[in-house]
Amino acid sequence: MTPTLSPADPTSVADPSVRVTRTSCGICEASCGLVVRVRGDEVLDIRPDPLHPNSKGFACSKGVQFHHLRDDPDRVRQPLRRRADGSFEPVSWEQALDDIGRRLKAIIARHGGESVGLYGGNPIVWNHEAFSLLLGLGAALKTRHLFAAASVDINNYYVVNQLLYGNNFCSLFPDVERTRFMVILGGNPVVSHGSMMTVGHVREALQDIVRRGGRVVVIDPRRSETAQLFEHLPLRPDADAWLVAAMLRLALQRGCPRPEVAATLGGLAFLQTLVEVATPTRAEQETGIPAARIEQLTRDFIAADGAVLYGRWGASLGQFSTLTKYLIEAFNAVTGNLDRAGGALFGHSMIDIEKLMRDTGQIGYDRWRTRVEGIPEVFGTAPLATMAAEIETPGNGQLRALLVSHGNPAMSGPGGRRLERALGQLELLVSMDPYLTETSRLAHYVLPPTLWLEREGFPIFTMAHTAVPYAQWSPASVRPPEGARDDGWIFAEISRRIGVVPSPLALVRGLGRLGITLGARTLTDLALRTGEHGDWFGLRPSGLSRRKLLAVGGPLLLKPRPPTGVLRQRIAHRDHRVHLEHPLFAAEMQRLAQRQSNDPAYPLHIISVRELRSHNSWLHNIPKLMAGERVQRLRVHPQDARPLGLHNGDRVRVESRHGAVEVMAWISDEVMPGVVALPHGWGHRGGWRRAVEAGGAAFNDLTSSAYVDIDRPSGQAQLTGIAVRLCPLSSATPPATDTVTTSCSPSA
Amino acid sequence: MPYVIAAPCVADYSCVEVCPVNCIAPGPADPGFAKAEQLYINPALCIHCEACVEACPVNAIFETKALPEPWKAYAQINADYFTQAAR
Repeated sequence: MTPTLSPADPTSVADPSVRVTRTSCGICEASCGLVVRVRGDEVLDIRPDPLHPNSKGFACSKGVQFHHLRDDPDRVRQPLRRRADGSFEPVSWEQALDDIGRRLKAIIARHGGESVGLYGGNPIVWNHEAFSLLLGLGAALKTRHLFAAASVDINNYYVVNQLLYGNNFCSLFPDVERTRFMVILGGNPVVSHGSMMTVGHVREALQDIVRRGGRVVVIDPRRSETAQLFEHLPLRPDADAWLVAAMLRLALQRGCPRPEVAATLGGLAFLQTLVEVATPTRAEQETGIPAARIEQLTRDFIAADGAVLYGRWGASLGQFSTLTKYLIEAFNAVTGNLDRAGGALFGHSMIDIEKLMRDTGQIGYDRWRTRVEGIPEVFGTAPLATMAAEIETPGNGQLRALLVSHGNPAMSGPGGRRLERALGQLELLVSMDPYLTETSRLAHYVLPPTLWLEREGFPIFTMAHTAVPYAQWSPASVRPPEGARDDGWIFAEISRRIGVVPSPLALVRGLGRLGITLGARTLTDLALRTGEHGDWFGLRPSGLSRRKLLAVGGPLLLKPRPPTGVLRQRIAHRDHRVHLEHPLFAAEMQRLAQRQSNDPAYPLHIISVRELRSHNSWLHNIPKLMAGERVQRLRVHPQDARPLGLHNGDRVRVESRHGAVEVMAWISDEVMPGVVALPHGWGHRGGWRRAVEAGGAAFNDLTSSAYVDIDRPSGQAQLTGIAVRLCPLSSATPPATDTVTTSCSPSA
Repeated sequence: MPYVIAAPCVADYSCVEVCPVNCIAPGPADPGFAKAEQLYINPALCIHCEACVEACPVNAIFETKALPEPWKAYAQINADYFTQAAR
């Protein structure tokens, strides 16, 4: 139970010079309700909103310190143009946009709109206006070089949702409030605060499962912060698909699904054949989990009255992430836990995002494939793993100009060094970023955007999987600094200069050519007003609109929880059943069965670690979040450290087949033997001084964007479970044994 | 009665900075801070000045007797942190 902390009106203040707004955090998926106090242009403080229906007074140190990012001396506050020597000079918005427009027009005239690319980073998801315009500009240019951070994060969900339920954005999520048995595969919600499930006070909510007599089992190669609080079952990296396939095979043998559940599923015979290879013996061999444990886990899951299997980072960024997600959904489905209390729920949102994305033509999978490597599109986007090849490979449709919005692909994309070189070859690179990052420092122009505190908005994507459905549309809490502009405005201005209307809708583009502008905000409001909760332009006076929500000034509760019993209604397939059969999954299962996972030259596997005070790659410049001399440490199990003579604090070189990094070792049994773990998002370069000073190395230098190394169905990069070896660089004592089996290349 | 840090704590250490008697741990200089998900008040040293309550950005600090019902156990959890650290 999570009590309301203070029933008082969070907006009441005595001082008339202080303006108070209620907004929601735009950093991570928890999207916590926040109360912001401002005097003039100064943010006095940011506090959790105790009356927010979903976050219920929770917030973390990232959100409550965000005004330090707003006020960061290293923040870019006017457009910058790169000089020939790599340094930057300030220019006016007019100069920057005119020159960008001219250069883009010339590139389009010579090579067509398909030579222009767009990349939307993770923060753009909290900016619905900019996100719509990014998709719209891509559609207007008819380019296939539309990239999203989702392809290094969550594309496997979007492929499986499309194939099983008929809509990329139909994402079911765990009913944490009512479940009796939750299995977390490769997720660390205590630190991440939840991903693809937006649950207030998530640590408390998970502990409540145990308090009411249920169980939480965390399956992870590392005894993560979440695993430390619950039952932990160590699993070999990237073996998730084997575990779930074996559990499915057992469930099917044990009489699942019940007849009434079977009636909602199509393709059961296919599933049965698919998982046949996952015998208990094989699963034990691949996962490192004893067959008896797998059997017990499956039995307990089936017996629980409301159980849910939830897979995130580790289960989403291996080499078989689409297959893994498919098996997770199938397991929840055959055990009767789809669309039921305590199982996996269909979300309920203020705006029906599934419909909105369908109406704007975004929904789909494999309607076209990428030019160079032939990888299927996912909701109209190409995976980031293909970006370097698209820049490097000549021919029609070669990527020559790229607009990056709030993204740092050189730091977060697979095959970091290759991608960085490729970005440097572009004829035009424009980056909308508050910092000079690893990516924006390569740009011809850096355009300073507003931040979430400084613009109107609401968390359109996370609302779709929120435990307590609510409606909110917040005003800007504070004026942006003079030189900053919203990404949406920047996209609109660039579009105007190259003579296109940025909209995925042909009707809107047609009206635009006639001089009638329908902004992205107007269209989102239209979707709200004509939706289930809309005011229908006055026909339903109690309904919602943007104007009404702004006037209310805070979040409104829509329902205590998402509804159940909606499966037939929510599945977009014509037969309204879950489609479990697709040749793609059979092919992937076969590929998995043939995988050679042991490479004697690279005997260890590296996984990435999420940290409490970081969010991917962009919060390392806030002193308060970097306190405690935070450094990046590679976790190494004592059993693996001993033969190498590796001790705490030693420098060590980590080598994969794709690259190498040098980091500090930290000997800890929190990782299982054979596994090393390294936080990602470190090793900064560029103009964010505190972040650069923090040192460390970029995890993605160990990763690859080559076709053979990625998850084929989704094009998603493999960012975890990569084979590596360790080479100690400095050590106080010689190795304890001379049986070091790895050979290391000379240190660079 | 001493103050107690309860479940909402996210180890933002604003309280450590304002505490006049240094009774909140782990602070940024202490080992274990990087991994700490929450901080604790040493009841033996707390002088009940309430400075931390005001400083806490997430409303996680309560006087012992005012602890909300589900977080009553945190009084002991705070005390235990220091007795275990002393061992």
